[in-house]
Amino acid sequence: MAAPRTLKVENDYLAKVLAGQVPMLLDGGMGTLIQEAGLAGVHEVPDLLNLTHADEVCALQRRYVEAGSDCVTTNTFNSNRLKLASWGVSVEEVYRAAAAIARRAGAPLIAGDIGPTGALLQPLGLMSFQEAYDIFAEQARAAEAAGCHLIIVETFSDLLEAKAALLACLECTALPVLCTMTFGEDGRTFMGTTPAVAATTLSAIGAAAVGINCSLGPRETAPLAASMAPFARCPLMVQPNAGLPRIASDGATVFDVGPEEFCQAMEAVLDGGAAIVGGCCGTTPAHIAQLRRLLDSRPWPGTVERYRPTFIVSGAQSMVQLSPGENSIAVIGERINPTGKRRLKEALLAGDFDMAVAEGAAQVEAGADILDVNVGVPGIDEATVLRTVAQRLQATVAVPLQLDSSNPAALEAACRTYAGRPLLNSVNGKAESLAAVLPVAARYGATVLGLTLDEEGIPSTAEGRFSIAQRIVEAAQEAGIPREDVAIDCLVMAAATNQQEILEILRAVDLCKRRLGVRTVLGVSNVSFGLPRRAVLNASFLTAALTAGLDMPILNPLEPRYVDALNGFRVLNGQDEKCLHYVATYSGTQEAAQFAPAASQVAGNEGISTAEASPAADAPRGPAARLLDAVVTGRSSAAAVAAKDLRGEMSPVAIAEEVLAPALDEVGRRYDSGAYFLPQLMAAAEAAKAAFDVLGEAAADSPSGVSAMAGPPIVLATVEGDIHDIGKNITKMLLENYGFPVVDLGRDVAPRTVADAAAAHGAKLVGLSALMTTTIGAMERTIALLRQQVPSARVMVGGAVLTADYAEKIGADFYAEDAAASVAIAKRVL
Amino acid sequence: MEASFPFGPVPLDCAVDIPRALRYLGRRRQEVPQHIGDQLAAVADRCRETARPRAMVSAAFPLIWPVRETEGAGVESRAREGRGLLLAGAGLELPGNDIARFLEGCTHAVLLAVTLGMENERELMRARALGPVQDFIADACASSMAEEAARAASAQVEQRAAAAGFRCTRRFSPGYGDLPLSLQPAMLRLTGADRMLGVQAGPSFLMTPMKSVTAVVGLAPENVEGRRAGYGRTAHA
Repeated sequence: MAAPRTLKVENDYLAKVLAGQVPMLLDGGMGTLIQEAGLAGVHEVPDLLNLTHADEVCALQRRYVEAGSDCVTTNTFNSNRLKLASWGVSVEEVYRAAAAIARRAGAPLIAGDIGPTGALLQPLGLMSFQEAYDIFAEQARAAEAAGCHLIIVETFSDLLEAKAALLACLECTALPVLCTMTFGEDGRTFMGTTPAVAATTLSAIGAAAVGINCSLGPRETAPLAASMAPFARCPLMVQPNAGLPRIASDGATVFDVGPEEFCQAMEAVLDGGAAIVGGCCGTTPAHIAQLRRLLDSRPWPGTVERYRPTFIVSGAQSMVQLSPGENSIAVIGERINPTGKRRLKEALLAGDFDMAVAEGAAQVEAGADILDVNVGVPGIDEATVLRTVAQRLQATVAVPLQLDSSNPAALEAACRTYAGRPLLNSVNGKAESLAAVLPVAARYGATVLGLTLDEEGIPSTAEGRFSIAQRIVEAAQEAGIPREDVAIDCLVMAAATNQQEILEILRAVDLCKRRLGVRTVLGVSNVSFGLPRRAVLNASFLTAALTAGLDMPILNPLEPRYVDALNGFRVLNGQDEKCLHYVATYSGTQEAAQFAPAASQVAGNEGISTAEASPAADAPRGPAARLLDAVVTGRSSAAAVAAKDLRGEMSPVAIAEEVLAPALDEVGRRYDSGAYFLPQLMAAAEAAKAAFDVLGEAAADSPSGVSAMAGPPIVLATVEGDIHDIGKNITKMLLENYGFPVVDLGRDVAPRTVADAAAAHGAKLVGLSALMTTTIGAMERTIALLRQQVPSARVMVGGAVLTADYAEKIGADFYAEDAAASVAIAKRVL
Repeated sequence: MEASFPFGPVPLDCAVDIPRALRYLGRRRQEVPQHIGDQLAAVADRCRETARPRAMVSAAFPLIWPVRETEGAGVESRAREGRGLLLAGAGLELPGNDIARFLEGCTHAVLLAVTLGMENERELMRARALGPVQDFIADACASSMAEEAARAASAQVEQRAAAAGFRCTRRFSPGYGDLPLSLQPAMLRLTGADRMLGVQAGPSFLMTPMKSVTAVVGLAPENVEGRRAGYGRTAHA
């Protein structure tokens, strides 16, 4: 849980700057001056100069004060505990010395500088959000204790790391925090964040100013800064480099843009809305003096409101924005929700999040703009699981997320470590809900979804729903959440039970949009509850609701009927300009309704491939022949359809034995003879799996299909130090499709973990994979440990760098030349 | 090398090499069925859309060769005996026999780092979530593109070297032969790829984004001939 925030700005001038009433001039590059002064090589961490060369650093900073800087930044860019650890000095010491130097230099205002940690955050890297937060919190407290007036968090590339720094400063100090990120020539940070996403995220969390520094010169920075302005709820700040760097013949880094040219280009930056300006690498007191003259000569326009109130849900790379007056719709995918999904429920409880991530990827492939994430299973640690699944999804897909929980603590946990601005699902009109959820949205700059229900239940009339919506919007505003950050869900009832309310719901959508000016959401599929062929009714309702003004339908984007309705509506509302998407999607296609439902059912395991959805030649043949053909040619959707059709004629076991097994044998023969190459073998296995899944549903059988054998599983792992696991994954897939149960330990697995798992499962066969010469040692150690602890287990090894000889040398029983060979080995051993 | 050169991420002009990707997928002479071909084409498009191929290239560091016993005399030979090749000014030793053989005849070496970027990394995660076939194909496409990116970066080094009267060897990466992977963090630091491209080396020295390459390229004066011009053979040879 986050600490409450206090913000104190005692300096009147700074208060005016932060209110956007006057501009502020920062300083220029420090590294440049340190290099000029011949101090560059003194320490590996130049921040240590504050302790050893205080007078020299002071002289450099005095030059910025004399050039007219309103604020000097402390020489503490690297002063975090990671970088200072080996030098025997504390973070506090360095900040204290650095602020004292800036004070002695005569700085009117002192900004405590905080740069990135240099480490990569989870799940891509190793550092947890909390570790990063703690590092920044220590710096922030040190800056405040040292007497800084404000903090500048700068040169960040990772939005999540910037968020950790910003939150640490806001929660651990009372200082205003200015926050800048650094962008490449293509207008993205190397993590993929755009200026607009950075501006909307950081300013909504509470940055006192947001902006851009480093990497680019003023000319390249100007358009990027201008693109931030409509999304920044605070002043805009820009500190470019003096052009792009060059390495001179003596090895020194030089910048070519002089003060004149720099300030000419800075005019465009100021025109674009920047109010707090300065320089970064390569800029000198001469640049700053020239910039002072420019600022003093320009009439200051006063507060120009460039911020455009817009409903935004963002990830770290992309955002969905629904602007007032624009007819755009955004689809929220509903499938990451364990309600009614046994396998997803079991996977979540077991801590296996791959299925949830796969659901996400498949929905994005099918056109979801936002993913709803619900992990509500009784007995689960919802806070941890929601946070982890959201992080895994953010590492996998770029679309923003809607965090869905009735547990405010889970919402906060996931929201805190989310890169961007999530949509919180949900708050409702009950006093308790408003009190618990709205502060979370306010603290993290999230948008929030309000449900029109309260202590009295769900009103049956449009006016009743509207009045709760109105109360939610008012309560949000009181909690510091602007109206544009609220969306309202008027709650769909089942037509089977509440038929008379359906049109009231649509009228409520219209009322909320027109009179409250908020965006609207509806969970479309509720309407058909209890009725047959639900997709038919849902699609009708979807079109009606969109016409009534629905902005964000929550639905299953893998259902072709909805996709058709959405594609059609986007032509009608003008979102699909010139009908380009519609034409690209439907041109040359035929009515595909008969294949559609099955495609949606298997799509949890694969994306819908339009390339394979045209099996016209299959139509006249019987389902058994079609299934055989679909598996042999590796077409999953067609295999699922055929398996479904065949279910009426044959038992699942007969289908598995008489159709699928011969099909897989045929595929194996073709692969062995060289007629097929590996992706064909894999596609066939995937098609067989799609068919097994259909049979499994019917037989309510084990998840991996009807043919799974009993007996101890095969334990598979990629060895320690190696993260290449494609080969291991292919092996797993083929083994499972030949009916062998598999325990997959993943990649980078320690020898001890492999031995323990083999012992625990009583494994007769262990498969190890290594792709790099450097990790063969780890493979050898794993085999040695297995021999000691599980002598009965046989070991097969594979991987690009191995040969049969080498496999023997390191003590393996079998060498699997490829994934198919591992199946032959398994057949022999088990 | 020339008097000065731009320092910073260099965008690279490169694409997915479909025939190479097919080789990575294990194809020899087989016909590629249409649905696999279509899938490959679609995945290659996504790869191209998400990749931001960038390079960072270091300055040319003079090479300091260990003095061999037969050539050396006295204190100096003992001091350098059994030690690897040094990059002067970089504070980096390139240990092992293979890199020494590779750079034979060279007077300088350039370090380069190439990455397809974090968004391509995410695309690979997405493909993985979509299933093994998609994963396998996406990985092959990205690997072929990373190879193309490394070639494009090498070509730029060659151009720069040629202007200064040097010939280049091919690339030699940590993990080849006996050149240890543990050099990776230093390679990233010296090229600036850690700060400028966001490439990080993990605890077992594997890089994130995965589709990243670091390499040493040797430079030999134009007039040095034959084997002395680099065991790794010059790129133009």
